[in-house]
Amino acid sequence: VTSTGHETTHDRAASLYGPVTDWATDFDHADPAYNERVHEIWAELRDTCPVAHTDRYHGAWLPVTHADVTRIAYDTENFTSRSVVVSTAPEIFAMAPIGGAPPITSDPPFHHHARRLLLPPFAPKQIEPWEADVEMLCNDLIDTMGDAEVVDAAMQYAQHIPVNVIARMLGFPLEDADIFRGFVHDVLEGINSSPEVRHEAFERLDQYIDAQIKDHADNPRDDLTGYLMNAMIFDQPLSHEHVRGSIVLLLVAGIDTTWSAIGSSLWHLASNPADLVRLNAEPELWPFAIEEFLRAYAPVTMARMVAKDHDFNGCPMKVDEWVLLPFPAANLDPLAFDRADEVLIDREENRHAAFGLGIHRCLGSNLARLELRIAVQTFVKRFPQFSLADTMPVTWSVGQIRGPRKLPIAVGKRAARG
Amino acid sequence: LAPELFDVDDFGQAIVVGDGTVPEELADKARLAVANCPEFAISVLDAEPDASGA
Repeated sequence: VTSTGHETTHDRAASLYGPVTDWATDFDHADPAYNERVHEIWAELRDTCPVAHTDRYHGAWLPVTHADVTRIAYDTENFTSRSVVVSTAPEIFAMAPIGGAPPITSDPPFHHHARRLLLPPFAPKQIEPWEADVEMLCNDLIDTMGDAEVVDAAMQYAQHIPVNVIARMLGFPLEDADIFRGFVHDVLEGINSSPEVRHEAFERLDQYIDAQIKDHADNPRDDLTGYLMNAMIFDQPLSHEHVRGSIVLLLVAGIDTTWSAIGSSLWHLASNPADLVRLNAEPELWPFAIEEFLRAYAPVTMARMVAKDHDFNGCPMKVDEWVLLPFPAANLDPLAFDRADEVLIDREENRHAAFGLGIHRCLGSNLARLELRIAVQTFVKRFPQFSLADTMPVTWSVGQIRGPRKLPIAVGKRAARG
Repeated sequence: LAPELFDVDDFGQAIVVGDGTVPEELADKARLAVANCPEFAISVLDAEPDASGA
């Protein structure tokens, strides 16, 4: 076996499960074919088997309609959030109601308190001042591309933006960006490696964050890590595990979700020249276009575990089975949206579920929207005409977060930094 | 979406500005806010008839 880089080869080599032949009865979101063909797969399931099942991962369900995804997202009695990444190792030490990465892995009533702690640092008032920095970062990344005719908008652009911002917010070394992306890859893409390999990956992540927490204890500073270390819950300081778990959440959730949304939006514009022309001519459409990209290419599928045996629409759900919550599939359900399968950059009414539904709705949405808007607009400003380059194929991520990982784009003429 | 109609508190929760009366020129923005709120938390009520009866 020849190694061709770390992105896919080691995952396939270490995979516990083989390729999928039937998406209704044996689906696997870690099969690279899933994210490549997922719109087709969801559409077919919606018509034939709206709640798919697999025996892989000790049993998992995949509802694809807006109604079912919504019902499960709001049902905190029958479903627990204690583990939200469907994988070979359900992080068995992460017990309800706190879980390993609070508040996303927490259940009520603890969830409410853990979430409330994290709301103020991500409120618009705290996030809006980042706009100028994000724009500068985007322009710097474009300047670094020199005068190449083809650029990789995922590798050279999208992947750098959220990682830089969240590292600065947490007060972590910017030069560790590759390490963070490695963690994200291990946690979210290495989902079907053996449980031992997975546990080792989590241990590396925990050790890294422990070292950062210690550095903050030795050199206190005003950043998100310091904020969590000083925060109180029920009149007590947060436990070390809580601080570390919340940092894991911010680091992992803050990186490849937004990277994927930026990449998918640029992929759409590179593949649909008419939309690019129209946005250049009618910039007032930008807010609607960004929301439409979020709807049509929502990057995040969340998950729950079944908390008690029960019947769900005729499906016998058993305790400790997984349930995937594909918010992007809900966004493409024709019962929930007119012309659901079309991307309409002037869609005004767009109650999409890209940031999730219910008590776990994304608390970083203000930051994600800011990064997405500035990243896509700056790219379009600097490269007013661009299209997919046919020299190299586009590749997609594996697992619950979907977005392009290689995105070769022919950029044509450039505009100066303005 | 509509800063004339909504403010946001320190926890990022949207709150209605003033007494919630929607001026006519902002009616479209209010309609869009209702249609796009992810939690169905916004509604617009029709104005009560003028109490003076004039």
